[in-house]
Amino acid sequence: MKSINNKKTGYFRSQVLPQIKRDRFLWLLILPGLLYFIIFCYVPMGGLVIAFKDYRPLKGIWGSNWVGLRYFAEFFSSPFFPRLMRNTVLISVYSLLWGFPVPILFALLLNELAAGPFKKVVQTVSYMPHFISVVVLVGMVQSFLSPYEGIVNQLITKLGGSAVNFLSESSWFRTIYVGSGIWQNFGYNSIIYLSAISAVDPQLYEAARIDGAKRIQIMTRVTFPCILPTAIIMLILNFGSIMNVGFEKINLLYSPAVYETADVISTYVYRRGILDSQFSFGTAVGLFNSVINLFLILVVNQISRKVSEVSLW
Amino acid sequence: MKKLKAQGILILAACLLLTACTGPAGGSSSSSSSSGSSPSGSSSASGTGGSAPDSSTGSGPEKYTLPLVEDGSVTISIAIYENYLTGYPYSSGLPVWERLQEETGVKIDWQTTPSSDYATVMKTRLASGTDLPDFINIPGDAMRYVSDGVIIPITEQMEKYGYYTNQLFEANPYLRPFVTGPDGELYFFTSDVAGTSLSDPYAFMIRKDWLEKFNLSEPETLDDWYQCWKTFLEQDANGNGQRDEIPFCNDNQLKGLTGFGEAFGLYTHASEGWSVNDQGVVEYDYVKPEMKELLAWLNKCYSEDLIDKEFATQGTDVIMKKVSSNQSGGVFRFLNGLDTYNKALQSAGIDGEYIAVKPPKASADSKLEPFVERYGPVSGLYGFTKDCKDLDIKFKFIDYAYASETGNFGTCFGEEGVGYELKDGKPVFTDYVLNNPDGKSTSDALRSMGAMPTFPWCRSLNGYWSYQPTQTIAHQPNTVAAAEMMQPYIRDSFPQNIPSTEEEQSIIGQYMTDITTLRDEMVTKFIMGRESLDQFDTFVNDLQQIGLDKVLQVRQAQYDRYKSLQ
Repeated sequence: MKSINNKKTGYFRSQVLPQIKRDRFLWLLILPGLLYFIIFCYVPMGGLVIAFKDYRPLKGIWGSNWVGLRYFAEFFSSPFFPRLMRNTVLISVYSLLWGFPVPILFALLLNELAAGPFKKVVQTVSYMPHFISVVVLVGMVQSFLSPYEGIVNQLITKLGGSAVNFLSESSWFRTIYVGSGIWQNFGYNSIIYLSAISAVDPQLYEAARIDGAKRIQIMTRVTFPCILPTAIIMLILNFGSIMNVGFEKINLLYSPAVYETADVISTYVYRRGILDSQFSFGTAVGLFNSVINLFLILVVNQISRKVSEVSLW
Repeated sequence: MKKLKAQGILILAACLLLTACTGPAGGSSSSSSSSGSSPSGSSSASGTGGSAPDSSTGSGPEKYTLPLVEDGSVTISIAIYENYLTGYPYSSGLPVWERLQEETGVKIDWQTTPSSDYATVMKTRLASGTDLPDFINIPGDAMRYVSDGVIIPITEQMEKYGYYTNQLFEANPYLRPFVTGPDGELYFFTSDVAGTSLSDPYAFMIRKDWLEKFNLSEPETLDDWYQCWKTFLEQDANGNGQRDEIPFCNDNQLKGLTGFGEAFGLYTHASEGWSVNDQGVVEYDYVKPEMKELLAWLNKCYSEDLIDKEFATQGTDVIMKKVSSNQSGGVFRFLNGLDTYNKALQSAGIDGEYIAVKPPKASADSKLEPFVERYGPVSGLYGFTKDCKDLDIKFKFIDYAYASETGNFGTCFGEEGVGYELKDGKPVFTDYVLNNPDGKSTSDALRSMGAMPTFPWCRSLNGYWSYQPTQTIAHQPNTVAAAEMMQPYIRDSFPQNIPSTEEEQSIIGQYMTDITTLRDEMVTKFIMGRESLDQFDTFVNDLQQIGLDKVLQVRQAQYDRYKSLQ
């Protein structure tokens, strides 16, 4: 034991300390960020232990009684568990499937516009929905899709169709959720791709033009491959939040009529009265979600590393 | 005012005398902790109430004398929501609370938080477990805090010093079970809202002018309602040449429709389906055969476009739009909607009027009496924490503010002379409240004085605690008439919210979400016709499968306790 310890401190003294000393200003630079993650992300992980305890605030985390997997069992044994899983994953996957390519496409197209007032207007207008609060957004969706006065249904009836009760049809819910999400966020999400595009080496464009490439070809053969690594990293990161479906929007948008497709883990837990001090149950569900997220992000990262050599780590 | 002051001085004098007497003897029992000069004698002040106008009755607690303590020597910290009216925080010295402090001598240390943040802030404070306020609005599961020892029992104080609260409980016997724990100890104070049914019960409303237009009489049975709605829709009641009438709009989403279950004797509105049969056995009305009849009727109405297509989703503002666009033929909601809707019609330039009608019967020869369920009867739980010093005095203060005439009139009507005037001993709202010169709504005008507080207060069914509700509608003769018409039909709802044991709480927590999810989903599907009513028995079976019997046992135990406490 002693020798190992000695070895360790020896290594620390001879190798690590000088390095830290050498890079002390860099260390100082990242210190706030580092502290942030340690204090707000790593230390609270210790609190996860209450997922296995009957947590009573007065007894404290350590004084509360162990209950083992009781809360996990309660959650998994709900007759709605399979449906909640399916809805959560599907809504996420569809959001990703349809929502992910749009900002890339938009950034590519925007890049083709000559710089000028028109481009600026388009850009600003496309960002704006991002800053609308969810409550207002849902209000807009509800009034547009109303079976009585909604613009969409008025259009449908004018064209000879019959009005659709959109928000009470479970088959429409995912489309509405994903569609409104894309509309709200594609402009804002394209910013990162625009910045990636601006970093593309102009010499590549010149070379392509000299070789006689057309605009479409430059877009697909030069610009797109150049921003692909950024896109892949974004995709991997997105997989890490697949179980975190936006609770707020669904809660405002859904009703018992569409539980079939709309009821997700977070809304179910909310109805279960998580507000009513059921800390332990909430933590158990949160832990379950995080484990799946971590698993997904690892798998996708692995695949990406094998296939495209782009990966997070 | 003058008279009161004189009385106050008299009482003060009596108190001082008493302190002088008991002081040297040193035999006083109460806790005269840090505040050395507190007249501890007042806690054992039996027999000195001679100056009080009405002597206490029977074996109840003795009436205490005011002020409770020498001015400002005791401070009670109260943690509740901040006043709902922004710009008038309780700490700014609102007249209702100034008066209560003046009369009792107890000072209030307000520890208020906006209602949206209150639960988070208070749970954190309770979790830390130290330096707690004396009296708090209990966030979340109150009995958990009791079993953790944070909220303390007040049975003894109530017996000794709860002079006014005991009178309130005697006059309104439905209250006591809601503040009593499963162990029989008294723990809580609560806001009594049962009295709101005197002025604002749930009511069925319909367009009177549309009825007259087609020579229809007020609907009495479900079939009458159906015929009225059918006529509204088919014969273009609003006369714009389009088939755009929405004969019935429901408030409160699904529950606004299951409210029609009351016609079949089902408690499917305020009671959420829990009811008690003649033998005192608790039942779940959603699994009864009558429920199937109700669903069949609702499905018929929905499929013929008589019920709002947005019934599952819409909020109050959407209904309002349908009212002012002359589309809505009727609504089931709180009666206060009557005046609001009629004003909306007026301001939209529509010559129409809503009236409230009797709750429907299932059919003309049905033996079931029509009814609507009473909302409440209580709201919120408040209690004393373990850190409370001078509990006896502070208890008296809460007792006085909660249930005495001064406290009740203050919290219900505001400042005397500004918010109300006494006529024949009864408070009557002034124009400052009902027709505010600055354009404040009734509730805003009251809250600007500290009335309609976030502190527990009473709008009860009996006694002087019941004066306020009917006063709030006194200037709306239509609503007054409708409220009176509704009174015979109002029944108590199932006591869902009586304090439960931790075990009961955990059973309800585990099974009830699944039951409610399945229930709401299937009921919606049945009404919309997405699921055939042949499936009703399967639905009942499924409910049984996912733990209905376990929850029923809990509800039975709770109901038995409720009965035994009344």
